[in-house]
Amino acid sequence: MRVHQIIEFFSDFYDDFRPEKAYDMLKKLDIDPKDRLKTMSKGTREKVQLILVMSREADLYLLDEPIGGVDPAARDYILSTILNNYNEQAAVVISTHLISDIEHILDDVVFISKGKVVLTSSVDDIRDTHGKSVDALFREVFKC
Amino acid sequence: MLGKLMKYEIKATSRTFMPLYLVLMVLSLINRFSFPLSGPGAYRFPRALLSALFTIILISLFITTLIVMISRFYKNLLSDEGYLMFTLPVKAWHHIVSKLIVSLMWIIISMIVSLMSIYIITSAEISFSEIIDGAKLLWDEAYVYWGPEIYLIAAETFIAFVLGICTSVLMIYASIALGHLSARHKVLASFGAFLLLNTISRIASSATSSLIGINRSSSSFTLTFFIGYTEVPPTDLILHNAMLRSIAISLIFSALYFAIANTILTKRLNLE
Repeated sequence: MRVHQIIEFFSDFYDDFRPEKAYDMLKKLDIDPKDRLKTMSKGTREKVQLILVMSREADLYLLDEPIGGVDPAARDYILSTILNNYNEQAAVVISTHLISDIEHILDDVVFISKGKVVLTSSVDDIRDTHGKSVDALFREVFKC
Repeated sequence: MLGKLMKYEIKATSRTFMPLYLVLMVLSLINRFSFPLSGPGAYRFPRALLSALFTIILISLFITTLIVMISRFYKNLLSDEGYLMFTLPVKAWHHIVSKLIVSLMWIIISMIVSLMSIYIITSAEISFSEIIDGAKLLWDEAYVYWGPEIYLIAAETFIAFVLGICTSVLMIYASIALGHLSARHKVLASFGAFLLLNTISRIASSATSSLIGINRSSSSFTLTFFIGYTEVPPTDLILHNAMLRSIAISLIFSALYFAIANTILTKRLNLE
């Protein structure tokens, strides 16, 4: 399937899908809508998947390890492009191991270890009370 | 939603079928017009080659129908494409039904296209009106024999035929779904499941026929119907019985296979 066909597919099945948003983000990230998903690199494919998800006007977005296959330099740009696009009323839940790359966009963090919540806090609180970044605190809590 | 799923299913499969139909039609046309050229001499070799090619395409059309049917169910629903398909706001049975209907459609179109292509090749010898006349003759004689009952028998035969295909398709879907339950060797397990389901349905089918008291299978009746009823005249009652029995068995097994596939897709879906 080509990207524009997938966009058509999504707008057909989801009423809250906004194709113009998707095309706008594709343009910003320099992805040709005529390209085939099959021939794309892993990183580009992840970008497209993220764009498709974020083009829906949902109230809650659940992202499991988004853009893990993208190089660190591009990650920032992609995250700000895509996450700035979402609905103001919505909440975004991201599960990730790449904390330092995305911590500047987080409001709250939850640390989970072996299926149990070990810490729930806002990012500001962590900085105030621990004087550390989320990444540094994570490394401390999960020290091996 | 079912309509939308079918739309995309047709889109995805027509890319395979349309070129095949086209090739078959073109080849049969070439075959047809190379007939007059086929003298006892030089043209014999290319003609033999052409008809061999035509036969190969014709056979591959049916193999393709089968392969597309299997791969669409397996790849689209049970491989990584399944992640996309099962997050769509549709029920699992919508997926099964949409794929079943589209498969049924291609099977029937493939049959019609093959008949058409065979007709094109033989049209040098037999005209279309002759075929119509022949069909009319058969129908008239059947009408004389069975009276207005023939409409009912024809309808029953058609329904039994379509339901029979339906059951086979659902049996394959159920086998793939069952095979998917296995942690390893999913394809092998699917073959195993198919053999098992096939054996069970055969045993059950012959058991019910002896239960009802008909020893002949419905297919032999259809055969006598087409070959000539005058030699072995089956009464309309036996024919009705055979068709209704075939319809009932198809319905029961279709429901069973559908339930197997649907349960696995809703409760036991384990995508890689």
